[in-house]
Amino acid sequence: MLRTLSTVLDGIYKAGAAASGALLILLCSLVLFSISSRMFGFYAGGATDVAGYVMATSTFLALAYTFRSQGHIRVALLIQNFHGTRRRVVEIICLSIMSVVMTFLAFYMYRLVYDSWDFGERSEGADAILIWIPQLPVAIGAFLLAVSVIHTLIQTIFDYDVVNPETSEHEGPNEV
Amino acid sequence: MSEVIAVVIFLSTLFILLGLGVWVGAALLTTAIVGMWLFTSTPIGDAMAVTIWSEQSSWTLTALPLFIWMGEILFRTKLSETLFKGLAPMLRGLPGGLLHVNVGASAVFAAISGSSAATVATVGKMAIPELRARNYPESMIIGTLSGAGTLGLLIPPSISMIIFGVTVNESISKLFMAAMIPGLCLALLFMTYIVIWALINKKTFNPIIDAVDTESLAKRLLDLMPVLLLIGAVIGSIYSGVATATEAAALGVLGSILLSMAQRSFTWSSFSESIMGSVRTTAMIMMILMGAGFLSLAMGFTGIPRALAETIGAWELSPFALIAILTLFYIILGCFLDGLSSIVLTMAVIEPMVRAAGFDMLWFGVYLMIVVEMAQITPPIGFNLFVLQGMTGKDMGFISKASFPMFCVMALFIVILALFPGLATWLPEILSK
Repeated sequence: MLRTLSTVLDGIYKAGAAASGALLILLCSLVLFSISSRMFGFYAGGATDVAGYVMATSTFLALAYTFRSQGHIRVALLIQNFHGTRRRVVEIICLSIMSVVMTFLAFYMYRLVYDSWDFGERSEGADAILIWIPQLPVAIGAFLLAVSVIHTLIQTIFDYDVVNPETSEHEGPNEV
Repeated sequence: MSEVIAVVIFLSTLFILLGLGVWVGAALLTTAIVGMWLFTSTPIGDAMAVTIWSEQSSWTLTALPLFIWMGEILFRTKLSETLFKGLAPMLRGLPGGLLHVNVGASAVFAAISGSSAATVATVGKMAIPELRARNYPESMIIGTLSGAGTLGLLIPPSISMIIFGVTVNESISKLFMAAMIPGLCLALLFMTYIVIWALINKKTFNPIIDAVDTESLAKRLLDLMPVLLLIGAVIGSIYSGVATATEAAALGVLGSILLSMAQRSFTWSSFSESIMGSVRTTAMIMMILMGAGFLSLAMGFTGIPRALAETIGAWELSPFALIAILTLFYIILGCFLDGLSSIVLTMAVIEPMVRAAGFDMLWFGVYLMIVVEMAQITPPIGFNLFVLQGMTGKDMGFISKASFPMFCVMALFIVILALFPGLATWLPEILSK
């Protein structure tokens, strides 16, 4: 039961990452569009504003997937020397802290959307789009991240074998 | 509560969270929240949401995912083969032979990729087996690769440079201009080291030398043409002022896709892999930036940066002494933190001090890339070392020992850069006129 739910959730994170990928293509096209608008002299308005919003949305939607595939960086100096139960305890502490902070973040990202919607706030650029529209997927991404952290925390407590960082096959962070 | 206790709580939160292994972005964010709570009475959550939103949706930062994507596409092409075959005939005549290809190919790849790990991986993919087959000593193959891979962060475009630029509010285009000459000088210095090494070890160094091929220079240049065009499109468009960094990155993505199509290495699966790879890397970096952005706001309220700037200012150190201390500091920090985190984390504190000491921020950016990279090839945490470990199967000790001479070359280069700051500042001045 727990594992089925977990699979479904992982599917959702993956879908978020796929959406994020699609937005990356859109971002690139937008920038190319604004270059050609300058070259051929037609009007591309707030393409630069929109590009920023597309990037923010793209980033946030991929956060949960990246977390689940161990893509985020942490300092491994201490934990790599811990094994078995000790490691599990430290993981639980780390995940609990992160769960609280990410829930806090998700809540205030949602508040930001609500306030923007409530005041009918618009972007300062040429297009003056309603700013809650790009903010909403950002809040969804933050919410997904919080869910994925809590998800991992619950698994670490009740079903450690699935997420055991010592044995699981993970990609690890792609550092630059 | 007195200020001092508050500062102590604030800093120990940071170190405990990082040390415990809380993911860097979350650790920075938590510390920032604690800092805001200790030092201000502003609504923390709302300030956080606004800060994160405005930073994450800024136009300057859009260069970042695009350059990451470009690197991911190029990594999946046959570029490593092209570079090796194109450069080998030109460089094999020098003392040290094909070892120079490691440096040359890294420098060329660095000019189209913003990542040093990608540079090491791409160049090494072809060079390690080829050099091994020709009896080159393992320690030199690995050492030159891990050292030259660091050019990936120095020679523009560079992902760390974008992050530095965004963090301290400097023009990314200008930073890209500043890094070019130092990058090339460092590459030359690596090559000089190889030449000296080869001359000293003349007796024991006996690689197998290939038969001279008859292909003309024109043919070789033709092979490298796509790469040169891509460099022209990306760096050329920034330097000439035709395009901003973001626009150059988008052109670069387009160019890389065309290049991989021309090489017939373009498939849908490699294309979607490149997207998923860049999405992951971008999310990882942005997570750190989110934490760092809010942390530097909180840091401002704590008064730590100002106090530090004043203290250091009162010591009246010479610029050289200050740079020496900072270099040491970053190398030690690099033992615990990855490159990106150490840049964003320290700039919140160090920026006012560096500005007060009168350093040119463009120069400082170039300097910072080199020290951070030096930290990245020293154990225990060094990403270039990890990449090479995966590629060669050698243990960490061997790889770091092999990289040590390159570390010294980079240290020497810092001295040169400090003596001749014009290396970094001259090109931006000329080009922005």
